[in-house]
Amino acid sequence: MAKKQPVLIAKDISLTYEIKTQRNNRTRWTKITSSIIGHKKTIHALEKMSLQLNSGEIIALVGNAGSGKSSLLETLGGAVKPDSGEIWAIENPVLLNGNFASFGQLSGIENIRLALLSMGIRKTEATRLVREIIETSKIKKIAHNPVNSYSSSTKKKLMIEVALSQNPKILLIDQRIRMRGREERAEFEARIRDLAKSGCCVVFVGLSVTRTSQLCNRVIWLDQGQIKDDGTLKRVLPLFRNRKS
Amino acid sequence: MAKSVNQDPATLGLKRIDQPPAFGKYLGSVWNVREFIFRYGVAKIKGGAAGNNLGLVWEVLDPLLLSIAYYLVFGLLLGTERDSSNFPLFLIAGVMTWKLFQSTLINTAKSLSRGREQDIVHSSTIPQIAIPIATAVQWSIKSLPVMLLLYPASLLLGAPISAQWILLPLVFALTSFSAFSIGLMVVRLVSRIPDLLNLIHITMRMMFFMTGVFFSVDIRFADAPEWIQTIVVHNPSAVVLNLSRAVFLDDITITTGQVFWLIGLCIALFLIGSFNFWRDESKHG
Repeated sequence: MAKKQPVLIAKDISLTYEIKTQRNNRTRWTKITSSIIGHKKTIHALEKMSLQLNSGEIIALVGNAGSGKSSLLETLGGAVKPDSGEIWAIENPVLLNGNFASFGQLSGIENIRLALLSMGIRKTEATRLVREIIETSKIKKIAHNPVNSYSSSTKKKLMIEVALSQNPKILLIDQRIRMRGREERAEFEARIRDLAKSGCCVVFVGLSVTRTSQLCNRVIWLDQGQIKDDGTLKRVLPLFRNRKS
Repeated sequence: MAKSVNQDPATLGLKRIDQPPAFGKYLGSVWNVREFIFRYGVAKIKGGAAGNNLGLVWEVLDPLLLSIAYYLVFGLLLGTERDSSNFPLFLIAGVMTWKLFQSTLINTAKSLSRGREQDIVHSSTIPQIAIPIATAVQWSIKSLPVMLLLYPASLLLGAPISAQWILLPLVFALTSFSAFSIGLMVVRLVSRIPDLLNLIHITMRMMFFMTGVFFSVDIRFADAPEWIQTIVVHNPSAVVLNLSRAVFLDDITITTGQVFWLIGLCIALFLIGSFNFWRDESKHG
């Protein structure tokens, strides 16, 4: 087996953001001000987190709600800038987070092309990839129909094909990407295994532990914006399952 | 246990991905995504038009119907008809140019505030400034047929054909660019403080009355104090409206000083706006 190479290194990354919230035990005055301008609460999503991702790994990010899984994924994917720290990578990771087919009234072809162009792919390459994606996802007959008329599984399939069309070296998969049918899941998992064999590092968030355990070889357990444990599936998963939540 | 990271990433062939390139390279990278900018603009036009039976015809009908309403209310009832020898053409050129200016500015300003645009920014690797540019392109493309209607309108309303008519595309480009440059200055602020959009709408309404869409600013502000006249003459929207009218009407005059002022202002606003945009994109948090 080829030696695993580092594909991404994050050093001391921290991330905070503000949310509008309602105060408990409010006075009449705070009740009025809160209803007009709202009260802000600072969330420490990531706190001085460091980690290394290597080629060929399939990683599950696990943790309780609010532990920082999605924040970490979005920060590594470039969707959110960290407050401090550094992120180094072999190339920009591809973030699969469900933001495809923004234009429901437009055809599948138009949406695929737009998604590819938004990833910085050049016009000629995008035209070639559009044809390829239509072939592999078997939507030739409906390619010119509006995306609104597609089933959710077809949309999902297209979104995955768009993400994989670039042969990414780092693929980050958000919890919004869920495979419902058995066949659909098996097909997806086979694609992920093939990708990992070719050296891609795949990171999942929020897949159920049982499903993740069939696919992943490393688990990163997050707790309150920090890495609580990071190791092999065999060692970390039982600890996570038996945690006191 | 959490693993510590002791290796030097640079020696492993990795590059920093949490920082955008230098400002010059950043602007250059916009050229590389020009296809996305154009197609995104077109996609938004198609998507928007799909909701109406008449689709894009409304883009033409809207300013035409508005022109008729303004003609009746301001031209006939309030007597601003006297401000030009060919008031219907004066009004149509004003309304159409104002529509291009206003819609490009407002939509550029709010281009990063919508969910779809934020999703794209959050999942793509393109420079974020591509979104406001694509929005300005969208509104410019939408307004292009409307502006081109000024040619048949001028013929119908009896304006003599002149060599100046070929300048309309330049006026169109300058109007779009000036509105985009102003919108770019505030787009980040609006995405952070959405309430500002209300302020922009109010400001645009005030500008509508200051710009002279249905009257001549030169005539109506002739007796105003000098400082007000200076503001009116240098108001970018008033300058583009006058430019558009000067293409078709001989009684509208515009100085080269005003044109250079507008071009200089737009370039300065564009550079400041894009620099702020780039600086914000490279900021942490």
